[in-house]
Amino acid sequence: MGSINMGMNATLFAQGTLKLKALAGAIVLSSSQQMEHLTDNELIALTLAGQKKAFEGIVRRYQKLVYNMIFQMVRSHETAADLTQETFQKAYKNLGSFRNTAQLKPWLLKIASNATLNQIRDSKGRYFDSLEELLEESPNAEPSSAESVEDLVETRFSQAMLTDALQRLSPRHRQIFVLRFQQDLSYADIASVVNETESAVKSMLFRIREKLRKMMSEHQPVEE
Amino acid sequence: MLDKQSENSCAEFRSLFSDDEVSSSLAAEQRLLLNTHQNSCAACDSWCKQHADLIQLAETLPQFDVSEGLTQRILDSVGKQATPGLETSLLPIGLVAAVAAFVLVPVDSLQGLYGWGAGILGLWALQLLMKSASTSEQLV
Repeated sequence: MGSINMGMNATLFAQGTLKLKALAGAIVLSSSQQMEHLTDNELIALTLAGQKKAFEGIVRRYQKLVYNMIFQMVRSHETAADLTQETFQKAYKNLGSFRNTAQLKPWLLKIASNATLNQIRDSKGRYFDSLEELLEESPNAEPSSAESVEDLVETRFSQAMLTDALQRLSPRHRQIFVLRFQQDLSYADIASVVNETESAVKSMLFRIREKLRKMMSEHQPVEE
Repeated sequence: MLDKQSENSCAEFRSLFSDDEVSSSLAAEQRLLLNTHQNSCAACDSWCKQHADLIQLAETLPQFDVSEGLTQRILDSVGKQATPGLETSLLPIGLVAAVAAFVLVPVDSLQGLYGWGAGILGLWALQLLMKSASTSEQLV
């Protein structure tokens, strides 16, 4: 415990030094390459010291994760874009209250989750797309992986079935499933994002997977 | 038809299998028991395959890249905001300036009056900063 405290104190000292240097103008971030090598807490320290460029590093590092989690909840690129913007605005505004000992990723996702659930509640579930719409390419965004045409068709159809099944879950259950199996977050991080205990998350995931498995098996074509 | 003991075994197997953090940390002997059950129970074997397919499918759900346009939109909207936490970092400076103005400059001359005026301004600025700091500390 003593060594952990010393480690944390050393980290805080390093961040404090970084902040002082940035305030004194000794550190000026000018490129994305510089920011890539900095940790989340270093970028936060620099942002709080007045270097807004450092916040760009945070945005570029987490925007895809935030956007895709929101998109899976609302299934609308336009709304996901608006909510992603809102998420980072709120994160920036409250950065001063972010504790150095916490993890930035679940903190950001929690902001995104709250904003999205508020939006869904206010909109009363306008975001359910038809299966046909789900199969169409979005004009504003391109999937980031490429496949052969035949594999693509089969995969997209299976994905569409899964997406259709996910749509029948509540946004919260959909979010938990996506965070675990698409974004590969740990149970601890998911619990932090959704305000539940780890055991509750595991239990929910078991039920969600079982429910999805049953829904997908209902859609399986009968083999001849 | 499954008997009670088989049902319990299947339920236990599925519970262990579905928690990947637990299943990946099982001892070799326990893993062997799991594999033996899976090999001998067609229902659980099918169940495992369906779950594995589901997870694999979820892992390949399309993830969209964020357009540069949206990134710039985010950065522009953030750029219009004041630097976060600046208010609280200036608190001690404001406090020291206000106290110094009152202590160091007596009001027995015009200069003294200016000093007192600066002190009053400093206290007013401090009050504004404290108000901003208390609202900015609210977590979303």
